[in-house]
Amino acid sequence: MKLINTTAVVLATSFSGAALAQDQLNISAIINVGFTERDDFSGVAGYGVDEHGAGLKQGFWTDHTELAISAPIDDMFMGKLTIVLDEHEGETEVELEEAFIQTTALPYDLSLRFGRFLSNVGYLNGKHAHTDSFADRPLVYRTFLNGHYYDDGVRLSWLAPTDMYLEFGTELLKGGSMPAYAEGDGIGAYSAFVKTGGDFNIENSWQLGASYLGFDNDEGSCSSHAHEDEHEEHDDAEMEEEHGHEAFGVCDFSGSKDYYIIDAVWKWAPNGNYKYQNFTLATEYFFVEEDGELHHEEEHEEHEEPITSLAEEHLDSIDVSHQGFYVSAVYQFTPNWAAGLRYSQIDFDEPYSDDFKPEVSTAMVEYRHSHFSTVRLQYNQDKSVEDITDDQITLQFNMALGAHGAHQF
Amino acid sequence: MHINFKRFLISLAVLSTVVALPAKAELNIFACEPEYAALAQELVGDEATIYSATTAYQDPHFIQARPSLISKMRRADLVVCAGADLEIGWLPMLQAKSNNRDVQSVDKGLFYASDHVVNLDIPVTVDRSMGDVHSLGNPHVHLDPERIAQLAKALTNKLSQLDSDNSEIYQNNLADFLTRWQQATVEWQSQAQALKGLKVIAYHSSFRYLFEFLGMQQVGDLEPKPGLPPTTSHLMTVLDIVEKQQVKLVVYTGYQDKKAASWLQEKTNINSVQLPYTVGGNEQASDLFSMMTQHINLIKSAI
Repeated sequence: MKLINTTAVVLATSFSGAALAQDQLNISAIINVGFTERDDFSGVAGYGVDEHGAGLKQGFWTDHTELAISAPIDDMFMGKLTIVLDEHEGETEVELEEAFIQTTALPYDLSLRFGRFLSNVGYLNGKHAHTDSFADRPLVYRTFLNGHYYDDGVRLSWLAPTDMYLEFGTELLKGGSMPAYAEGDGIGAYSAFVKTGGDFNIENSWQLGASYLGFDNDEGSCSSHAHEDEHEEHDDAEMEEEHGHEAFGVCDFSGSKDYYIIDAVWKWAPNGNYKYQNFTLATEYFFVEEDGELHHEEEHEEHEEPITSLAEEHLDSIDVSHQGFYVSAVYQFTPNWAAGLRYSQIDFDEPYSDDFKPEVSTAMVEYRHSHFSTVRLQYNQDKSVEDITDDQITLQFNMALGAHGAHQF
Repeated sequence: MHINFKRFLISLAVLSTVVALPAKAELNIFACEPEYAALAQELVGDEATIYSATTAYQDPHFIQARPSLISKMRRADLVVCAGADLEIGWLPMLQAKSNNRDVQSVDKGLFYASDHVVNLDIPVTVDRSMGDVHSLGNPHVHLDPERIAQLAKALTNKLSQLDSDNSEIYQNNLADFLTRWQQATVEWQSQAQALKGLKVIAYHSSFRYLFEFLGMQQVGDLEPKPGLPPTTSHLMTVLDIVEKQQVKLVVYTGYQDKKAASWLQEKTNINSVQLPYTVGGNEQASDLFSMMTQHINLIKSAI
């Protein structure tokens, strides 16, 4: 916390003294606080998920409160720094979510980004969670991307010289943050994406994207965050169930993981005037392949033989694929009020689940007093694990201080 | 020999026109608002392709950085915007996503109108409890004819800087425009005599510069604070102002909700009128001249 206090003081001084010129430092703070009534997180079927997979925390929370600074560096580069405060078991943790420089003066419609940034795969991943229309990320994002995937690396983007928007991009990443845990200091994750979009007419706009994201994950390089203990307890509890499924830890898999993501977005506003009414329909589909070895603890309760260890460790070779999606619809019906619905489902392959498909249905209503403040009430019907339905209610306050946010499509 | 030489001269002439053509390559201009597309049109004639990112029916503060705008900005040689943070929610994102190095700074192909005129209502202190106000003052500068004349000169300089080959054409167009514009301005000023001191209510400070030019006085705002939609309790105080101060008119733009203005008209005996605000704001307002004339005519016929 000391670090933050100092930063805040430094920022306050620079802010008050600075004449607000157009090339100023953009400083913004997002305060994201709320209260959630829910059961303890008990996994997503038997799949290994990390901290953000759990979704919103029970009780009062101050999750993902962030401080962002961005500015042009010179006529060649711009830079951005985003610090996120997250809470883990009473401890406030500081995460560096973004620290990158991007070129602004490359020829041939190219741009290069270097440093730590949010991967541009899919529709939501490149956007900051506080600009979402829901308090938490969809189930498929929490499970497969740990809510959002950022990493250290480099991105090259190119806009094709076509009348229609057509962007090609590729990223080479370290593989150092969830859901990536690659070995060594080389390149452990890589992506490629293509995005296109346009206007049907003055009122209707669309965007389509196709992305690939690959990880070379290595169990030995994985350090899971929190929830590990909960998983252990959970393992035992589920194991006792008669046809219960084994729950794997987030680090149990080694090998190559490939994601294929398709995203589509449609937005509508009367006359293209977004101020009073607008509607957004967004959907993303994930196809995930895992090819490698799964760390697997097998208990030999049936044998009742005096063996040295009750739990025997195996490495099972697996080659499986999963798919998941979400669909969300949000309607802003006055400048102050918006409501939305979302549904997300995952279809896991063995050994994470047999027939059971985890799903979460969400409804939300939000009040925006101004451009800068949102109060949101959200209900989740969470069926992440078999035979349990958790009704989750969240009240969220999401407020922006400082620099004006971007109206990203 | 003689004939051959003549042929050679002719083919040289033909060749030179062919070679000269690429030098006349059109400028690609991206205007953030229709008023700047119209101003650019006056100055460039046929020398450019112009695209307006918004229409008169779209609040220029609430635009999405959508894919079609990214591709338009990728191709732009010049981006002309109001500035003063009017486009703060979408222009920086378009610049970053366009991968276009020519439109990143005002040294090159970026032109902010607010940089070239004196903005009104620059606040001494700004905080968000005052609403969505901006430290650089009111950005709706195009509704004052005198400021438009200053902007025409500044934009001509920018065009000449980017496309020096056609500098003479731009200077000629400017001279022509200014002659016509100054004549029209004199006429508008004489028409404005009848409107001096007229008290009006408006939605937002969108017409600040028009009222300044016409000598009118905005005594109330349908918005409780800049950027916040009208509330019932606030409208009651506006009603009070109308009754006490002999307000004659309530005005709003095509991109603002007319409910509050209609409500006020019903409750009182004053008229409400939708003004074009910018080029394309109604059928008659097809360029900057007719837009200004429309404003004055509509106000005059509504009082």
